[in-house]
Amino acid sequence: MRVALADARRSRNACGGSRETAGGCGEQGWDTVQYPPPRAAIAAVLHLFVVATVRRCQFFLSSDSLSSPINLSLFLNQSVSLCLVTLSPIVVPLSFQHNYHHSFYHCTTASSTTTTKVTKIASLLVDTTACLCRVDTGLKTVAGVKRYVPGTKLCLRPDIKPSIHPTRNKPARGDRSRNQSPLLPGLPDDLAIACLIRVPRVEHRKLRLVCKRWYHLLTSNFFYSLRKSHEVAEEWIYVIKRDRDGKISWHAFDPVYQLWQPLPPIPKEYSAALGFGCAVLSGCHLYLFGGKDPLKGSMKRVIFYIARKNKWHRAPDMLRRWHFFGSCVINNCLYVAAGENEDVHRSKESS
Amino acid sequence: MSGISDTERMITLKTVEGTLFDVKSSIAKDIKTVQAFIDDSDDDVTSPIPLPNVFTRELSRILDYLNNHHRFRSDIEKADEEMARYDAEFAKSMSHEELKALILAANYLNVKDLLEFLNQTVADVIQNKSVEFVRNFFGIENDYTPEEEEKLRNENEWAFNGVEQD
Repeated sequence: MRVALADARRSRNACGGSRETAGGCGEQGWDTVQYPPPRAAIAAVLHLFVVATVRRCQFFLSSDSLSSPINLSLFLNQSVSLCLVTLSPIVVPLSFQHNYHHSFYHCTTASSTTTTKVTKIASLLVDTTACLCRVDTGLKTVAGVKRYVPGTKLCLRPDIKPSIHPTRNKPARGDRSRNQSPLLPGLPDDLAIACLIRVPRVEHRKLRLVCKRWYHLLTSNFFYSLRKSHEVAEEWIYVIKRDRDGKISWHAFDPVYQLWQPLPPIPKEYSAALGFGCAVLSGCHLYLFGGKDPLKGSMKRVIFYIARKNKWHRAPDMLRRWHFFGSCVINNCLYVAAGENEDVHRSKESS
Repeated sequence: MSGISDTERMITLKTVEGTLFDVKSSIAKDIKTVQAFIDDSDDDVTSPIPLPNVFTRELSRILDYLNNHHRFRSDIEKADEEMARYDAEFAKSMSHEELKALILAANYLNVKDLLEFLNQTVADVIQNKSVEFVRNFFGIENDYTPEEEEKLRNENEWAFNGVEQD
């Protein structure tokens, strides 16, 4: 049995910075390994109607036919209930995918959080002590704080140097911070961030339009790690819908505010695909891979959606063209177990 | 110091303007900066504790908040309800400038609950408001060029149209 493997761990660096480009994460790739088929991949096919389990609540997706509206119902504590109001904000990291050959309902939850870079949070938590030097985490020099905090004495212990590093290394950093306007005028950035992480996720798209610094903050991994550590992260349920023409589109459901939101249109070459796999990697990347185009046959293409940026990107192709395969995520690696391979243009098939 | 009771020690705080505030030690415990000062001094604190970054107006509001919350906590039966009502009033009574001054003071005094509450208040201001409102309210300069903003809005256009009918 041949199994292809994408190692998303290698792309972590790309997730944290601005290096992500439209071409996808540069460092990720597919590999072929000889493993027995993962059992989870088989289990995913067997679960027919439970599309997501969040805490003890199970979400069901049902539809009479492919063209009728999707009903999302909630199974709560052993009793069927359609009342979504009883749901508390979801903070449990979860990724569950459902993949069934004939009905093609895929559902998966993706939070816009990742767990990497936890160490960085500690330095910017709003946890300051008596000395004002500590307020000065982040970008400003101690002198700069004067503007924000009225009073005559800056520091109760002026003999303590704000940094052990020689001052001549500082100017570059200082210049940058002086050029930047504060996130919220009148507040140091760490306090401004502490305010902004509490804004619900449904508002984030709007906040990105306020100014460039807010845009960079709201697309950063740091922002969402902080939300997670403060337990204000919200998870949405992502659902695929297929319309009468066979075109697929994604919708996100916010269980807290009970809002459906459409995702950006799927890249064209994928919009009519059948039998593809979907999975969540790194907590915020939603991958679609393989599948069968009605005209061109099996595909090896991989695309992924970044919840933080709300954009689709392309990832490296799989090694073979596949559809109707089993797949699962183990340890943030995506495993694809051999499925069907059918090419309309037989001559193009290489492997 | 006035109002010393037999059961509870009073601590005196001094603001920038020199105003003195007497605070019960049980309430001073919530003010981590003051508590750290008390812990550091071996003897009983007799002289006023200077707070060189806190103005009278902010400190009186913070102490008001802490006193009330302390009172709510001692009365378990209707604590949550009254606390919620008080918090809502407290949030409503502040102007934007007062809110920022209070955040700075609460941060300096390291009052965790209050700071969290104030941060949430700022976040609530942003909710359900337009981008222009947020910019005006906080005095943030729009550094997008009109073309850039147009492009970004177009990227999100499908999001503003609401959920499609089907």
